[in-house]
Amino acid sequence: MTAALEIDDLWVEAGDPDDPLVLVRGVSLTVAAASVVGLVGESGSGKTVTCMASLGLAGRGVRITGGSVRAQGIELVGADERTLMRVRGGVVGTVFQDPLSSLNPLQRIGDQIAEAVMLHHGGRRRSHHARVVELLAKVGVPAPEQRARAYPHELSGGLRQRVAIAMALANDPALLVADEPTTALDVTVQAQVLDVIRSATRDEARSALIVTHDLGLVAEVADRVAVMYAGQIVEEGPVASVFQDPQHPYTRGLLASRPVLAAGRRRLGAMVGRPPLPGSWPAGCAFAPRCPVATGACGEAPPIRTSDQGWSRCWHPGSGETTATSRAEEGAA
Amino acid sequence: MTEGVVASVDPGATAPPSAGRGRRGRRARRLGAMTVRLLLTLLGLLTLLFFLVRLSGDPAGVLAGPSATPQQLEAVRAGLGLDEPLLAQYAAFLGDVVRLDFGTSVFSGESALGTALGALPATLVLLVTTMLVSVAVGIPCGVLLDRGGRVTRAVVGTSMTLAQAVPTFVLGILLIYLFAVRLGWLPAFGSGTAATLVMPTLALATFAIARTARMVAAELEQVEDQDFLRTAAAKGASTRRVLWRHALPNAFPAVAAALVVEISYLISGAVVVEVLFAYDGIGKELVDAIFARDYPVVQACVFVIGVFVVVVNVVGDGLLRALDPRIARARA
Repeated sequence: MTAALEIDDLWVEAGDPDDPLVLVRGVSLTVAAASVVGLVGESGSGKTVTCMASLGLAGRGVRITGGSVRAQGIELVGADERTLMRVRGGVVGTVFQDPLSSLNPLQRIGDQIAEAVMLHHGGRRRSHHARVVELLAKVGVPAPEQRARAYPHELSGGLRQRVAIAMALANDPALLVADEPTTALDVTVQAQVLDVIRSATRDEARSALIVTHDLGLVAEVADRVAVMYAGQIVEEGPVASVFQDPQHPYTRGLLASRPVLAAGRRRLGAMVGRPPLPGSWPAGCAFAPRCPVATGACGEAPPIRTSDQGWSRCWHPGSGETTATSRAEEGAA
Repeated sequence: MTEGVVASVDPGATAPPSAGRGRRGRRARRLGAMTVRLLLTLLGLLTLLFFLVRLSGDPAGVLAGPSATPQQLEAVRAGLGLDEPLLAQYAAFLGDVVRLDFGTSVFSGESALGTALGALPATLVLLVTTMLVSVAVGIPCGVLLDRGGRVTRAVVGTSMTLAQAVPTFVLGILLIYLFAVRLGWLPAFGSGTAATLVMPTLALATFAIARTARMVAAELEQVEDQDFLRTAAAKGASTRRVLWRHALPNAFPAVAAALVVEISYLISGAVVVEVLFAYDGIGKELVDAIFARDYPVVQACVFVIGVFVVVVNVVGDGLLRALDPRIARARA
């Protein structure tokens, strides 16, 4: 079966071509059919850029300099606009972080969803009204008939994100890409939106790539998780095994710095230092300056070690003791 | 914000699309406020008009002629009510205005207001064609200014600067020289036919085109990085569709607001252009009346132009509301 998304050795940079700012360094990631992958990492690690550049949506000045991206087997790197238009919205539905700014403020939400249908099925926007109402009902928008006539500013944040998801699902895409889909929402609303995403993936055997820094979200909806640091994936594997037995010290740090109410811990295992900004990534292992188990060997680029059903990019994989926090994760995962 | 506990129940998320009474009440209040604003603006205009006219000379002197005896002059003054105290005159003037009585033209003897209103349609035609041309040319130029390649941007940008730098009357004279004198394609002056409309429109629209283009480019740049453009692309919209269906409509309310203000400026440009091309609009009527010291007609023309500008602004405000649903709710 064709993978929903295959990113292979993707390199992305921005800025002056003579003095480029490298944002993504050889990312390879596969989202298998009907599986959900969470892509996690701190701000600036390149997780959003990886997604957006893959779809050609990263904006002006950001360019792919190497690698390949295939959605349902269709190559996207270097593809012409016609191909990209067919894939975007048709094969891949995308949900963005801020549901207010990602909806057109001047158009009724029904018209915006209808546009998504129209772009792939032809006809006029009005002729897709029934489908629009069906989609709104599916994502749990109450009174969909009436809400279709509302403008984005008339809806709450949670409803707007539901609308954005309805729009992404308009053409029943094989893959849903969601960039921080719950970050801009109230905590109570986050869970509801997560439910919508879960039913759109699990119940309909749809694949998804979910970019987030929320490990709890990953534990709830994802099958596999990829951890990004400084433009590279440092660890990838099934959610259960990565959360229970993280191989990369950075993954362990991320897991330890999660506040867990039930664990009764007084202090969070906060990681020392800050993630390095693009352009100032250390040579060798980029995480070494913040790593508790770094040695002289870490000055060289670390080898990729496969373990269980995943892999990590570290000289000392699995060398830390399992922390209380990550043990607490076992339940969630 | 209360999003319901049950996923499908979501109260307080939005007001129903039409909130009957409240909405109507707000609209009534808005119209009331607008009427007050309109009346105050007109009062200010009329006051200014009254005192400026009194400062500019003695109407009685003109009427009675240079050879009039002091007695005759006095008689004319008394006839016009000019011997009354200034404030009494002002009150009488306002009273006349309320009755829309601007008197009769000193020369033709016809109603001054009728003369002014009779000249208005020709000016309106000129303004409408000017606006149409400046929007039709200005928006594509603005898009090129924002989206074009380096060379395109430089060429369009320079043209727009040039268009703004050349004064309207100089441009008008150049147009007459080229199209009427050298090429003989168009009549140099006159009004009433489509051909006579071409050059005044061009002369007037050139500046407005440049302004429109610059506004469109500036607004597009503002809108450019908005997330909803990326959403549209993510739905599968072409670059062209993203620009014309999503970016430009969002840039347009601000442009439209500026265009409405532009109409107020165009009126003063129209005065110059109408005189230059001997185009029989209200601007030419006004200038003719000023030179002839035909005060009733001057007052009527200024009044009509003033009302027009105020009406344009009110209509422009309504247009903005129609273009941007957020404004309708935000400032009720």
